[in-house]
Amino acid sequence: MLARQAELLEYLTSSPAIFGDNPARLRPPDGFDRRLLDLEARLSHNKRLAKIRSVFARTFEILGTDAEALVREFTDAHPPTAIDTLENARQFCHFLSAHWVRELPAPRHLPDVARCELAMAEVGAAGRPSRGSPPKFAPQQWAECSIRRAPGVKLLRCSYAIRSIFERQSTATVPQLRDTPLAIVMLGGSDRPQVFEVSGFVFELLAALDDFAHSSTLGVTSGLARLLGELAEHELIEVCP
Amino acid sequence: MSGAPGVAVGVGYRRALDRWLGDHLHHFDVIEITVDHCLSGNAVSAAIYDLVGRVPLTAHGIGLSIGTDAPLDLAYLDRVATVIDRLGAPHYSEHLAFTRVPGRDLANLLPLPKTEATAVMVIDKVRQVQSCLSVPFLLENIAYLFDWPDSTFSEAEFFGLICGETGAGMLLDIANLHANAGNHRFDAYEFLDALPAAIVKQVHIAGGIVIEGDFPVQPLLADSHSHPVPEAAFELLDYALARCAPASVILERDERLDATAEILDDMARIRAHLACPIEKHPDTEAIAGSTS
Repeated sequence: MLARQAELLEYLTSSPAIFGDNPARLRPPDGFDRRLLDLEARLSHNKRLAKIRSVFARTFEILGTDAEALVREFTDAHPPTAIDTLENARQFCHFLSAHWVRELPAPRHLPDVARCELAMAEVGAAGRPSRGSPPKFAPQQWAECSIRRAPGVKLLRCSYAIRSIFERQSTATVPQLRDTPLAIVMLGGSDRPQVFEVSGFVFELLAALDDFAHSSTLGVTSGLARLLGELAEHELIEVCP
Repeated sequence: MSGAPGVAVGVGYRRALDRWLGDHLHHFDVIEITVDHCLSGNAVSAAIYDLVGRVPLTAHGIGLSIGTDAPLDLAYLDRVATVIDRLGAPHYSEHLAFTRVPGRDLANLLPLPKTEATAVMVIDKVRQVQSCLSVPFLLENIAYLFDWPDSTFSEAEFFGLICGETGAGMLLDIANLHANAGNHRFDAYEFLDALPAAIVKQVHIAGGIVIEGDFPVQPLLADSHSHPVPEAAFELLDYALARCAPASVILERDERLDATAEILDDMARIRAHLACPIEKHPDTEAIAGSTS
């Protein structure tokens, strides 16, 4: 029976069944009512697409009418392999990345927006790891503690200053072309991830802090102590006294 | 809070309802947890485990695909068993359906050919599930748009055969039955009459939508879990309750989750139907007598 189940799923995830394109390309399995299978295929595809759209709301808004052709191409190339929203979103993001290697994205900042939306979804799904309040250290105490990047923080280096798109809830803005290091984090008391633009130095520092490192290795100055305090306050680093 | 002695009334947990549920737990005797949401150790699972000890929880699954004619994912089942234990759930339910084959996952419940060969395959799988779990296993009827051409059993016979051979219970989804009866033009009451009464251990109920359009099924009853439970579904519930003794009735709601007043209203309507004096089917009296 597995072969028949596989044949049925191949049909239900195909473009001819979902979009009614070129029905001669793929015949439904013998004995089934094609109209009912096509209805099942469309409704299942709509559910999958709703999951993907829920992650890439701004990407789809910017794509506008171009989205339809992309979705068809995606559907053909990437049948669903998981029920999970994030898995489908990752699949779509990989598809977009590969597509934009072949064809330049329009507008050019679209890949940054898509990657940022995926990162936000991943951070949101992971939630906020339970952690206490950031310590109120005197400057000299910052030289005697261990720190690491807070679990759940995602770092993303963008080519365009796309944060404005997420801040203003508007995709009409054309962001400036400039190196834009972002840190995405779920803050306490918030039900959605926050996107912070950080300096290149902070980005590199956070990227290097996969594991706890003693702050003395950083050569803590009063300026760096202040910075670490701010990073802790924004829940971007975790501190172990 | 229950409207009928012994029948708990509750709702399925959804992430978007989390805060609201926390503030309104007193309205529910039980909350149904989708175990798949607890498997990745993410924000949802943390919120779900926060409910343990505050309200009784039941365990429901969507990711087993017991009807796929391939070996069960035993690693998945192990993780599910751990979640069930942690929730303290009295049973675990899944759909008598398949969603995937190796390499492809429709993420939508599909019917099985209702044949003896399929029943044998599923019976073997059910026994494996039962051997992995410390709680009873229930199988749920799905809403389906098409059927396999080689089905030889009715759905009620199929459930009766599998549950009879394995001792598994049935999770009767009234909304799915209502949608299937409308879409496939069969008598839902005859379906209930044909079910062995003792197998129904839990009930799902929900409100869907009617879609007009260029469909082969017109109008199409969609099991969207999006609207108040229709009266026709309550009539089926009444009829079912006269024939079986479920431990709980769970309201499923997946869309328009901000309409929480509708959820509370549905809860009150379920309780009112449970509280109505129902002329029990003689078989049900025997079941109730044997389990009390």
